[in-house]
Amino acid sequence: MSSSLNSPSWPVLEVTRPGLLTTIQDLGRTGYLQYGVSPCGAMDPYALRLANRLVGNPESAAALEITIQGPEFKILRDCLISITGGDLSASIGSKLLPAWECLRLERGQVLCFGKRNRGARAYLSIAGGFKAEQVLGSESTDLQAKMGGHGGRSLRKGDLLFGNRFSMENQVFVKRMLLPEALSEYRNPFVLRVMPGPQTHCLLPGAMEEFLRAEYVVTPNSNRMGYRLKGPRIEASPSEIISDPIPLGALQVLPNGQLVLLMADHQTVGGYPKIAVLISADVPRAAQLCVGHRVRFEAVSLEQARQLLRTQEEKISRCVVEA
Amino acid sequence: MQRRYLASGDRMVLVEFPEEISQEVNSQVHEMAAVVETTRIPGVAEWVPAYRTLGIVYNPMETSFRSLIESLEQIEGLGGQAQAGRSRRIEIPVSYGGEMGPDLDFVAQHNQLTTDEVIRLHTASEYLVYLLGFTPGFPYLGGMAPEIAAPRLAEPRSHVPAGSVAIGGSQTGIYPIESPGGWRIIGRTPLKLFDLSRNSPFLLKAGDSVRFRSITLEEFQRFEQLTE
Repeated sequence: MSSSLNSPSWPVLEVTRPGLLTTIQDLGRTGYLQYGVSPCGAMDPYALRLANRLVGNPESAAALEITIQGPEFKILRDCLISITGGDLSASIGSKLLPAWECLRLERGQVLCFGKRNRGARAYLSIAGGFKAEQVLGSESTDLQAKMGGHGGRSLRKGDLLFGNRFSMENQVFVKRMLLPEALSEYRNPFVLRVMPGPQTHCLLPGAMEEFLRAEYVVTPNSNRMGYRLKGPRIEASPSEIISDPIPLGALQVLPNGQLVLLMADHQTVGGYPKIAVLISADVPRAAQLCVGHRVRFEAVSLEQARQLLRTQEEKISRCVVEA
Repeated sequence: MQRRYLASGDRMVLVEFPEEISQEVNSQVHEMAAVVETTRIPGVAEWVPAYRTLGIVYNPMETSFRSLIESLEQIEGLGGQAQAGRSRRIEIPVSYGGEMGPDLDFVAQHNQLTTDEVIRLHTASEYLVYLLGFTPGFPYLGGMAPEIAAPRLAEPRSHVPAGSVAIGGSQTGIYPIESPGGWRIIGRTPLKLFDLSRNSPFLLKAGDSVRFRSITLEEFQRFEQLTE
């Protein structure tokens, strides 16, 4: 195929069924927290970065984040794609597609997602990247502020998605896959590692031990802003603090003793005590939680958190192989 | 100047100043933010000023908590001058009451004042933008006269129009985009606090000072036509 057919004005996918929540995401907005803009971006940046590497894109290219119940697309032009993250049964016709590798799709095929097997969020990347609305330096969809991505909203039936210029002659990526060590596993119950938060002093005696012993369940009242967790009541006093900056992965205690784990679309400041903060290396796995999943928390030191992140970064940089 | 450095996760340093909501403490936060902005410490990605804390987001693969604290301690003495040239004064025209401010009557009744007195008090103060948060560009303003404080709505509205000026407890703020909200709406400004078509999309920055000016509904409409 000649590369002129792959001009930016050519749509790649047509949404024939939108799924539960399909949005365009990249690695999020940086530099605007001070203006009250949520970071947004892929909930599972590990899966997004690898999806992009598999098709030869920059790690930060915009891709589709597909949530729990996936969409259906008509392929409008030959393309190279990869699917990573949670296992949402991607298929072409009756044939299930392998995840975590570079695949070639052809015009006219129908790409369909089905049963959720593992995790909650899958990422679909195309070689060249999706062409999306860039706002404040990012193509991520901000659902609250209704900006970025595809008109600041989740995909709807009939939407056309455009790809950036890419030549199909670039076949070099076909058969690209990951070393098995890089494949994420999403086991229920999830064990997520945390560091003590900046307001542990608000905890009553024994509450931290209880938090680390207990098992929590993700409740239906959960979304990209955060997960509400059901489990033992955690007592905090005072129950509100002077609002301060919220880091990604903060575990806040609400006045009713319930915990909220704050994720990609979190507000920038908040007034509830943060008793713990998820380590960066475990944010991707937390992104794969869905309603009913069970979670336990394990405390680590700042130094351990850094070491775990370094290991993960090394994995990302050396795990893509040509089969 | 007392300050304390805490880890808030593995990529944020939380700098704490004295535990109170006051213009004095908040100014220290903005001074430090200004110094961080001009110093460009390696590994620092961004920062978030709040009432009495400054969150500094860093990349743990480019720097460490310890070396970042060291750099921050070195710049502690700086400040003052950096902030002096930066503080801006911004006037916000507001059409109070009526359709634009459906809760003005409530705020007046609640405080046993006339609506004119509420407007006079609201426009009399100079406000400090303590921080931006909640939605892009939403300013939490300090300095409101306690005489016009009003409780939040028990049931927040699902759609508060962009530009709405409102009172929540002892604070006042402006809704930059249409969003849900539980504060009492007393008026609306034709200014756009968040406008992506502008070079600088955010009208206000934490640390700015703000004054409100009462305008008529006609002036509001003329202003809107002019800026369209």
